[in-house]
Amino acid sequence: MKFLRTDAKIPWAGKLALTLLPVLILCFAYVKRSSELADTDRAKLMPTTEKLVEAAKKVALPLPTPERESDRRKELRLERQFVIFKDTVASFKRMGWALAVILLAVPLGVMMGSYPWAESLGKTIMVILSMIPALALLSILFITLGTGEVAKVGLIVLGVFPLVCLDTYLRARAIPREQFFKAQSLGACETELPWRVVFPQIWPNVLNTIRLNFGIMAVLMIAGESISAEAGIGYRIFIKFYRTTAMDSTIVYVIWLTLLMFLLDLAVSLWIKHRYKWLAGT
Amino acid sequence: MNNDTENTGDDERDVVVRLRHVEVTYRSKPKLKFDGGFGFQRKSVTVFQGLNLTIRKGEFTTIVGPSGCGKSTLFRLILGSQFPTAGEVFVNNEPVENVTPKTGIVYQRYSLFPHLTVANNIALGPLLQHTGPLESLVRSIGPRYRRVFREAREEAFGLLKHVGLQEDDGNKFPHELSGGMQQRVAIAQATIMKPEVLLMDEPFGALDHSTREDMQLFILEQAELNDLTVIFVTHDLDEALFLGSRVVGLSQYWQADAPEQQIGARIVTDRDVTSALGGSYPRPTTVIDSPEFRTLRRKVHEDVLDPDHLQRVAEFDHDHPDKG
Repeated sequence: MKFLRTDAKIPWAGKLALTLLPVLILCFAYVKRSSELADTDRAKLMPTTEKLVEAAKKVALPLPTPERESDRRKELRLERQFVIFKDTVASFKRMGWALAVILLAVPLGVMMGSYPWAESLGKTIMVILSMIPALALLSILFITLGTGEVAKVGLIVLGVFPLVCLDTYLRARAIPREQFFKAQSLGACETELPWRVVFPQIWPNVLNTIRLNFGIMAVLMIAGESISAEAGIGYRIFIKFYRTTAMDSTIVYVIWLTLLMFLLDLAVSLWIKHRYKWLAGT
Repeated sequence: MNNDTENTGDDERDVVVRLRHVEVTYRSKPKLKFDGGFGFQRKSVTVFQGLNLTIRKGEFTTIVGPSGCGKSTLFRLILGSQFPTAGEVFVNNEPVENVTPKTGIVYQRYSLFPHLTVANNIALGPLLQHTGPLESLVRSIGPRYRRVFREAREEAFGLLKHVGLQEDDGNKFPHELSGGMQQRVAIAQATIMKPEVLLMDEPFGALDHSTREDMQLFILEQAELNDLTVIFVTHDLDEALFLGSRVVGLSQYWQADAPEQQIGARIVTDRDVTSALGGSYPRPTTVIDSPEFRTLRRKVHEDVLDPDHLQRVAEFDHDHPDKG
């Protein structure tokens, strides 16, 4: 039972097998249960894989062109085809804008961790903001900021900004002050310390924090889109599929979003590993 | 023994570090105390009182003493990361107001920046010195910044072989080097700035015995090669006596009527090691086995660590408060 030890060296094939095992178990359980329910009145709640493939084709592939088609029908057909990709672009645009604002939390956290005056100024308010459950402010945001993009982006920012800021602050605070003195003895001035000593050392770990918050960002994005939107993954799931109980399309969307978020997470984590090799030694 | 090691008659031009009538008092955070009624109480501890110390150019001064005797406080005062409650600290005849490139530092840990390669760690000083804070923000589009960076790296690579490292080591990260190698890099990083004084805070404390011996010879060689003035803090008496041309011993002292209560730290010994050990400096490693070394070691040990001796010092000062 050597592989159960804390210092076990597992070969890559073994690692791959262990990684895939829970995913395969999950898939197997779904396929088995959905086929059991296929001929019952609960079949719609757990569509079979064939139905999922059909639904996927409907949202991801071009819709068949009928022999005769009015201009209005053509317009509708073109609007409905590739809908999953159009929704993805709309949702990820919102996430992108939110991420751009959330990144401002990093210099703020670095300042708070470097200068005592910034710490006194920002720490308590950030802790208070981080305690506010963003979803509880959903209605207030939509009433005050309108039903446009600002409210949806604002919701994501409100939920994640304080967390990233506080994480950056704590990491910056953990940098030994000796390193500040060392940098000053090498000619750095006070204003250079945050971005020449603190920021480069904590940035990869802050990226990891942002990466781990992708899930929360997705939840808030879907919540925002479920209130009001014209396109987006949350909008499609809550406003279109929910009304028609289109479980097959909903599951396709959930799988698609999960896959995208997983790939994004993987890409960022691999990039951190490749770009910041020194991190392995700290 | 008084607390004054200043020789006022010497040539002022040679003085690199001067501490004059330095007092350091720490005040604790207020604590709520119940004594019939509620009130806040703050304790204050005076670490140094009337401390004078003068260090001259080219001296290798080792500061020795047990834990909590004020070695690190003295280190921070000279560095400029802490300020005295009273008195003045000068480096190169200018009052110390901040940490500046005049003082180089080598710590036991944290001397190197983990995100920079060895060469970039060494090149950081010249780079910081020749580029402004704004310039570093737009470095990717600044041709001057890139030129300075390239030149600083070339200088750093040139320095690698002088500190016993290979050219390949320049592209490694600090964690890929052994502890001894890391300290060599830290010394190169500090000496490239040609500091007025090099402060070393127990730099070899985490190294094994044989690496430590290698590093002791290495720092002596570097000090001679670069004509460095070194202040070397250590708690190892053998290391202090082997390395130092002068040894300054610090110790805690107690009040005669309350011997269990430490009230401060002071200089209890200040000896010219070179003349005590026969005049040659740097001295051979075999000096450690010589009777002169053992005698000197015993005397300094008595000064610094012997509680009976310290009690006598405290009683002497208690009876003659103007001596403190």
